[in-house]
Amino acid sequence: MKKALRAPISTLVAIATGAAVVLSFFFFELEELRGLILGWVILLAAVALLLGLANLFLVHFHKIRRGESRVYSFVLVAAMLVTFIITLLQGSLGVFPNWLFNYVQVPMESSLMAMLAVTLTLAAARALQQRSDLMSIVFIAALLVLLASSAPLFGLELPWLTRTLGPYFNQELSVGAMRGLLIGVGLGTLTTGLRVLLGIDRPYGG
Amino acid sequence: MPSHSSQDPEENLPDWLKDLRKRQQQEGDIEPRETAPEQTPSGGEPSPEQKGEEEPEWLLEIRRRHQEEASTQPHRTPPGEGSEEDVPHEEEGREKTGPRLTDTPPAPEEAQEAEPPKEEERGEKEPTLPTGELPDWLQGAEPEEKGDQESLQNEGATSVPAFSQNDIEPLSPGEVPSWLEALRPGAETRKSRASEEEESTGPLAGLSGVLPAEPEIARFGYTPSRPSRLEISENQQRHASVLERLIATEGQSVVDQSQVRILPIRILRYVIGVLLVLATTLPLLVGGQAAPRPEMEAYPESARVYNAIEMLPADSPVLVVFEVETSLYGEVAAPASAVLSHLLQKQGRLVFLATDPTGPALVERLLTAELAAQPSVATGDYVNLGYLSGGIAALRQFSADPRAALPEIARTGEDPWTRQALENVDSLDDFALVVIMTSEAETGKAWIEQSGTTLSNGLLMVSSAQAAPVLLPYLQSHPATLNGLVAGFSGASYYERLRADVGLGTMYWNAYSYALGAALILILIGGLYGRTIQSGSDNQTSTGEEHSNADQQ
Amino acid sequence: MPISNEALPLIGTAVAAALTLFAFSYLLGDNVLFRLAIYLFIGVSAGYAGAVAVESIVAPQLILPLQAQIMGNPPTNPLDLGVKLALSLLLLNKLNPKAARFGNPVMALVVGAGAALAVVGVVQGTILPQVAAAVSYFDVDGLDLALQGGYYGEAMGILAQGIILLLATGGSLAYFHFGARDRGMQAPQRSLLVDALAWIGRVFIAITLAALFAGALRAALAALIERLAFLINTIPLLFGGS
Repeated sequence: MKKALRAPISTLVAIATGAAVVLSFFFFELEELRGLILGWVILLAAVALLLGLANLFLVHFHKIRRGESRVYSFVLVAAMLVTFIITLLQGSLGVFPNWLFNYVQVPMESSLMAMLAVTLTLAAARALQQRSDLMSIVFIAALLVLLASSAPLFGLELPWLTRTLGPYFNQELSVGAMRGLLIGVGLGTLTTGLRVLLGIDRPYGG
Repeated sequence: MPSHSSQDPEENLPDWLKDLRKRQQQEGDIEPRETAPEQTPSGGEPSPEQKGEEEPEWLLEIRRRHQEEASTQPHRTPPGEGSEEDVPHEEEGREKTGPRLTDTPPAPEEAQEAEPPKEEERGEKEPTLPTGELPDWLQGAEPEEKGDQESLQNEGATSVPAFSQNDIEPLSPGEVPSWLEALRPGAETRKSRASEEEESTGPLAGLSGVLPAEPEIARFGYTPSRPSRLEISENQQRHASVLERLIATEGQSVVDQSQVRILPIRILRYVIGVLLVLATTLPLLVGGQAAPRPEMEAYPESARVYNAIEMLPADSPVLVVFEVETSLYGEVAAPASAVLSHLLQKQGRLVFLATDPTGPALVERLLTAELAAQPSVATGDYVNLGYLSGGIAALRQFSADPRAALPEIARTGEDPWTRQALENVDSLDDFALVVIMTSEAETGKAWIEQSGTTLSNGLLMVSSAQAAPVLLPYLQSHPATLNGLVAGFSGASYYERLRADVGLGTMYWNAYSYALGAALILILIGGLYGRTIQSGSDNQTSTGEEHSNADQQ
Repeated sequence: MPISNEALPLIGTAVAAALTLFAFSYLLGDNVLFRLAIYLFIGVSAGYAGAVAVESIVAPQLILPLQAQIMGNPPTNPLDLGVKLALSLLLLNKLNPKAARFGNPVMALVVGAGAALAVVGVVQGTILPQVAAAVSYFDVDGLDLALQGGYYGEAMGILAQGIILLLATGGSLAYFHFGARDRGMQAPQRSLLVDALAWIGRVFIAITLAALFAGALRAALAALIERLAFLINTIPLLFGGS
């Protein structure tokens, strides 16, 4: 009761908005209202992205002023400002923004993902070395089968692996358990959503 | 009990005794008794005299006997109740007449003589008692009943007690059951008092359960001796031995096991990195097609995508939602280019949308890098709607009313809904096919949940290998929400084999095959290597502990 | 000296190759080059995303209509524009810690709408279809046909398949069921049936986790292949010029 009194307006807004959207699926007269609300949400999501950008700028700006990791923060702030301004001026498919995107952002993100291959291989090796309970053994065995059945190894295909065992693990056994997980996650999402719609949970600062 | 301090004790005598005394008085045998000033009420009856000049011999005999017994018998301790009630009596008696029978041994001169009333003295009203015998109950009567009598009888040295207490057998206590005894009020008090010390000095000597006359500090005596041996518990012994061990190992250097373990892990990481890079680079450098592509029955879900696109009429609007993260662009580009190539081959009118800010740029990159040779791409005969923010809100809004969600292409200010590809499109279901290209399972799920159920043809997906396990269950759902899936390099290679085409999937297939094999072997060898290192360090640790234990012993 | 359009791709390729190598240097340990590359990447990606958001959404839906309003060309729906402006300004208060609470109602609107969509979508798109799919594990028509044709082996196979899939789905749900009856002084314990199902579910969940891990490893290997292919194609280009 004390919590509800602390932020009655926000709670009311969340409940009213949620109710309007849910009811619009049952009453076609409310579809226009839903379109209106979703239009606001689309704009507010973009504004929220800008807020995140502004917060990142402020954090590193203060770091430069305080002298903490000054060089790195300066590189970040400078790159952010230059990219933002030039992209606004030339458009996102302009020459320089395109150049920045294709020759800075894409290579860096792809390279960071590529390094994950080494990390994941090391993690699998350490999982093999450390635990010996049933779940670990089944995990490692299934992992090895699934990797071996994804493609021919060193150019050599093992038919019983790629045509029988691998598809059975991938499309039957894994799918069955994943279905259970999806149903469980769905029920959790439903519960959490209902709690927000009923005002029990207030993640928006209420 | 009436207060005895202001009443004539004569009034408290039983009626028959009063009558007896009256008769005796009338006969002149017994003189009125002298009373204490404070106990003599105004207007009270005169007390009988203790002694007359002429006492009968029987009376004298009784008195003598009483005096002899009183000097030898111990005083009776009254019950708790009686003793409380008798306190005022005690005080009065002590002040004026000396100690009373209930608390202190009565003085011989105060001995009371019990005498059964003579038959002739009773008169007609009172029942006559046998001469010379007192009833038991009278002989052992409770002190509180006789308190008045005693106080009267104790007054003055010459008073003659009406009854000799010596002849009265004390009432034997009845056999009270223990449970009844426990129920008696004051039973606990009596028990506690029983264990209390009896006061031995002062005016309260002989009493128990009273405040001590002397404080504890004044009592002298030897202090109880305590054992000098230290008593410690097992737990304390354990703690002491641990502390002793800690102190003993203080000067000894300890091998840092974490450092021992980090170094092999670092070496393992270097080895894995180098071998993976080598296993991937060599096939790329050598080239060729050593690894066979997947069989035709390998991926039925990818075959469904192929079949759906194969049945696409020409000039059909196809929505392609590009939800690929920049980090996995390299992987998804292979199946995406294979599917897009097929779509363009079937003369589909492509419309691109993205709910990620980098989506529109990645679309352009893909089209320019991999499909530039396609006529539609070369002439720009496709629509890139751009970026739509809002997550699932954008998905739902676009699914319900695409025109309202994106009224114009913001980059160019152009109204896309006038283009040929979109002129007949008012809702998502108006697209001939909806293809979601995603690298994240959550994005694919969101599209399925928000728009998959509203489409009559369902969705087709091109995804990364990491999203495939989560999306596969949707292929079998009822109603159908996902109709087909092409995932990763395996899906790309398979799709290109179906189309008898060569693309990124085929180009990277060899390297993929070697990289997977290397990863598999590195996991196995790395695991065994790690187990060896770990068992060695465990042996080292246990040996070190054994040495330290041996040193301590 | 202005950079020609032909040189831009070459410079870009060189920059991309250098950044790729800087990123790979993390395998040897954290270093200055890697940190510089990371901070540069974050700045560029943040600035690019913000600019695209302004270009695609904020400008056409808010800034340009406001500009038109000021210039005397009112929009078709001024009320809608007014609400959008008010909501956006309220949300901007989130930058200031002291005034952040004024942005809470706006966040509440976004969260409420998102929660409603999530609830409807998960029921329509996941729970009901997946439960229906679990119900149809047993291919009744196929089983009927197999029995009629005397293919008892196939019939047993269909039954076994259905049972295994049902155990997989039910077991994975039971694994995350933690309800237990109170047994007074003793520790609460799940019922025997749920425990047995959970044990079976644990095995299938391990297989599913292995599938997810294998998928992630395959995706990472694919990214590694693409990057190495880029380097292999780029280095001769940079040094050979062709």
